[in-house]
Amino acid sequence: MNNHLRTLRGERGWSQARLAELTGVSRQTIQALESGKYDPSLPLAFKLAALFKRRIEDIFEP
Amino acid sequence: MTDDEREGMEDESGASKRARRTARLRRSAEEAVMALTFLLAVFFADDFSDRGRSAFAAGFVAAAVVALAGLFLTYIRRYLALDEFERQVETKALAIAGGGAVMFAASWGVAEIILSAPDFPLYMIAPIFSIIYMAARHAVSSAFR
Repeated sequence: MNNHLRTLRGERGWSQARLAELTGVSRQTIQALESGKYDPSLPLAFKLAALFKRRIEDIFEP
Repeated sequence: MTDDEREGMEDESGASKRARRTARLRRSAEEAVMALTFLLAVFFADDFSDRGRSAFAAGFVAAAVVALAGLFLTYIRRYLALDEFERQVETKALAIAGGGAVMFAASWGVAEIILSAPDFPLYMIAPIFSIIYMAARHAVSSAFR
């Protein structure tokens, strides 16, 4: 699944480690999400959407 | 290290990095001590059993079981602390290792019956599982990079 996580994170000047800290997951998880090789669970997708103040479908694309 | 990994590491504070490294080292040390205790206990249990000192042998067998249970509990604790992605990697690695260990033991069993291969010591299932698990874990986590 494609996503705009890297762009959104970059806009805020956050590192992967910082985003991981804010969402309560590991840096490896953020890395896997950004590479599009791992699709998040719904709770994590909602958490990311809330953090970036976007809708889930604005962040993730099928 | 990939650019992604380097980028991710940049902003992590030194204290947080040190804390994570210490926790990882402590966990690895705990696991190594228990694995070594298990192997030594098996070795001494076998040795005392050969010398006809069954009470000592039974004591070392009990120590081996306790060490193995300790390893298992440490792993469960670690597994429960993982996030969803890490659990997915672990679960896949466990499935591959479990299947691999069963396949190895079954194949050896067939070789024992048909080809009169030497008896396979069942306690070796744990180390064999661990070796396959480590390789599988590395392969699975690499696939997500």
